[in-house]
Amino acid sequence: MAKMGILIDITKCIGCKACEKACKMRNDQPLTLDEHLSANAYTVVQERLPNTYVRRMCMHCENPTCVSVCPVGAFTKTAAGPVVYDKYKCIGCRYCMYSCPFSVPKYQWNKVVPYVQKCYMCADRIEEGSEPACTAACPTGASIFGERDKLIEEAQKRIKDNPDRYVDHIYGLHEVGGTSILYISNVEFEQFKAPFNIALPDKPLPMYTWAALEKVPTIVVVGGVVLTGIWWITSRRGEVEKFEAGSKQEHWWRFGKKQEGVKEKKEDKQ
Amino acid sequence: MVAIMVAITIIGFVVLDLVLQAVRKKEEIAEKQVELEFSDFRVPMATFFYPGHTWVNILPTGDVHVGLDDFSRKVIGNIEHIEFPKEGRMLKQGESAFTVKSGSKTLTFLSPVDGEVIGINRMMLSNPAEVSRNAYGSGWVLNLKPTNLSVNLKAMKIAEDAVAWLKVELRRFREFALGENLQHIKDELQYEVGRTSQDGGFLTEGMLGRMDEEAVKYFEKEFLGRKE
Amino acid sequence: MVRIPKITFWRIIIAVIMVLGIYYTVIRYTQGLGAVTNLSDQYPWGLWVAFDVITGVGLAAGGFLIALTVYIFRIDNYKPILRPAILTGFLGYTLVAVGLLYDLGKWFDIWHAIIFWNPRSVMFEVAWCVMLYLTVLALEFSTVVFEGLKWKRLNQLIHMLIIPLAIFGVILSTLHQSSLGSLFLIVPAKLYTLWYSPLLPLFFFISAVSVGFAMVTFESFLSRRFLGKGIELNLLNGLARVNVLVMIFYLTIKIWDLAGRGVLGDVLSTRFESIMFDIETLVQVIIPLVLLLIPAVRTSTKGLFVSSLFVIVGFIMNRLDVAITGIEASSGAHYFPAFGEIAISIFIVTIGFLAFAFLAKHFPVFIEPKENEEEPVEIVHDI
Ligand code: SF4
Ligand code: SF4
Ligand code: SF4
Repeated sequence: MAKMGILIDITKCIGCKACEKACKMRNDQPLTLDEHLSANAYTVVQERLPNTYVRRMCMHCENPTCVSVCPVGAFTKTAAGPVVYDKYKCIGCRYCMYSCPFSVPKYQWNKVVPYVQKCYMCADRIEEGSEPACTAACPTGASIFGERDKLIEEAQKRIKDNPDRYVDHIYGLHEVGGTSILYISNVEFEQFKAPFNIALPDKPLPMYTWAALEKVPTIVVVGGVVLTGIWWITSRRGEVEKFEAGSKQEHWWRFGKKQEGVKEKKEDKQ
Repeated sequence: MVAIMVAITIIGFVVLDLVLQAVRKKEEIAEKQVELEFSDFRVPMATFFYPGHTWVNILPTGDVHVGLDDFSRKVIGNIEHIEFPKEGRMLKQGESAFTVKSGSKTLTFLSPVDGEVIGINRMMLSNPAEVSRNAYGSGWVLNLKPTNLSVNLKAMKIAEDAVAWLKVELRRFREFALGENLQHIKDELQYEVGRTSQDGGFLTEGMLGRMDEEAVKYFEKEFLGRKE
Repeated sequence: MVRIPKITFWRIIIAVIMVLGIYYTVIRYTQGLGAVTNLSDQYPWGLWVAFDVITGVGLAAGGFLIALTVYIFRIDNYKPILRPAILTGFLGYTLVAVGLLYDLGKWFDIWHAIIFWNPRSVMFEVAWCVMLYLTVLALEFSTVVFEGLKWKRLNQLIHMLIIPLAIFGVILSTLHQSSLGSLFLIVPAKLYTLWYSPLLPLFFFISAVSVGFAMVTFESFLSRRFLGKGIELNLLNGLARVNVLVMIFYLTIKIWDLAGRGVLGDVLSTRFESIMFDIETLVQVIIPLVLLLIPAVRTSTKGLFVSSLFVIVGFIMNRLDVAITGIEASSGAHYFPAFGEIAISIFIVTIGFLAFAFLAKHFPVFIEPKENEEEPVEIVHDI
């Protein structure tokens, strides 16, 4: 299946929050108006600048941090693009929340058996050949669903056709190795701050930890050899000492002279 | 903030404990002001006593263990550190063998026999509770290979002789504590006058800590036999 | 049961800690994390992860260092330290596991780490190393227990395995002590620049070595203080000397790294994080280093105690700074642990102390077995 994605055109968003509502209905969440992403809000529309609305949701990274950090592999990046969560596997360490560059995963803090919650790009609907509930509900076309490559072309075309209207930056094209959700905007992205963290490198974050992890087998092998070697040398030394001590002992037994010998020497000195 | 909070919590606990300990130590010293009677001192019948308040036990192997007797242990109180001689060193009877540190005071003890140091007892420092329970056994300090034992033993006391000697020593200690030239000790112990027993008296546990430099020197010379 | 030869003051404190600890434990397991902690979506990691788990693992590093010294380098002088160090290591890691059971949202699924693998995850590696190392420590310590119980056969069996176990343990420790630092490599844009460095794993490892030595010293004083048993000064002095070298190395690469990344100037900034970084470095390395370079301090009981306390407190600050303070700015939220979190943390540490006291009292932790040395029988003269 082709890689799907969502293109969010900030210039077109009117802040109607239809997507929020559609998402909540889809996921049986209480219909509240939320300001921030939470376990009950997979997407929110925030008025960041006067009359400028930013819709937030999981970025569905191409090389997702959450997938790489989870010790039990509860997250998977599906072939179609969505990053989905297996609530059975999860042990609740919350490393995914700590490390997600866009701080997307949220937690059910007040449940006895809590789960991580985040947008899953309506993966089941995509599989059925349909589109996510939120893009389907968007009245202005500010969020459109499609193949990621096509969306990129579309974004480039919009920027090229209206260079006065858009800043020349497709957010999500390269950031942290690319994301399935793409943004274009009339305002420099850094003015919005989160999630458009300008400090984020283009290198996928999992490569940072992999640089350390890939050394593990080397450390094990080299460490094992070196330590065994040191032990072998030191224990040989111990054995030699023991052996020498042993032969002395034997000498003393046989001739019964050791102590006398010592005494004689002392007397000599005196 | 969190880091500072945790740091303060930990330091708080440690400081609290130190304060409590200081308070308790004061109380303890007050408690320990009990005079020791002669019967508080053990004199094992098979142990040789050297006038410098060290003892000698002859081991089945022919080596000897050397340790601190009850008298010196009680004077010292809490042993904090021991300066051991190097293994392999030859010691002479009456020569400085090891140094015991308690608080800011140090006492040098003389070797009771001639011999080579073949072992030191690290447990003296690592497990003081055990060694004070068994002062004449596992509480040895040095393990020596004697070279002149028969002659050395003539300078030592054993059994009834040792008992008589210790009684004299305790009497001498009382005189030392009341001595003209050691006015401060006299003042300090004034309150004890009048209820002294004949043989013990004036010796309270950990007295070393309350002696001043001059008194320590005098004590080393008079009781541990140190030559200047 | 556990006798603490102390005025009842500490017993009262312990009782209070126990009651609070149990109370918050009940709440945590019946009402969820939110009811006891100040954790939030902005601050998913708080005191429990940072202190009980990440710091705890570091503080328990003494065990592997002394095992390395005694079993691999065969420096026999340090044998008397081996057992207390391994015991603290074992207890330390057990407490880390206990801390995890509090912190994990689905704590009852902790075993998932065994069956669901994700070798790309640092957390996965740490989990496995800690699991295996806990087993190694348990086996190493079991010799003491078996000796106490006089189970000769089993003891001999373990003795045969002890060298491979020790080697394995050292490797595991090296891996997970440094991997705790790798955990934070994934947040380059979140962690404050003074702390974020590609060398984090190395820093974590070296500082764990340093604090491992300091902890052995510190514990020795504690056990002497409360149990009347401890480790002699000469050996601790030796550890302090090694620690001086370790700290000099740490400080050097730290400065080198800051300079190399061009952020050395930030050390002087008046930002909250920079100030915390400075305090931490002073307490963890610079002050104890200066102290230990003075021979009079190095050879005195008090000096060693104070300097190791500095190292330990500084180390704890460092871990908490990296895990909590360092991401404060980027999270856009403020976190300070709730009373319940603090109470549980103290509760866990207290359990550790009590367990140590109990084991040290009932098993031959501080006494090395002497080869059938005969004690002269004492016949006391009757008066
Ligand atoms: S935005 Fe965060 S949660 Fe979503 S895929 Fe990327 S790393 Fe995972
Ligand atoms: S909280 Fe769950 S999903 Fe997130 S990293 Fe931990 S185990 Fe994985
Ligand atoms: S893709 Fe689905 S889950 Fe995600 S925000 Fe849209 S409706 Fe919600």
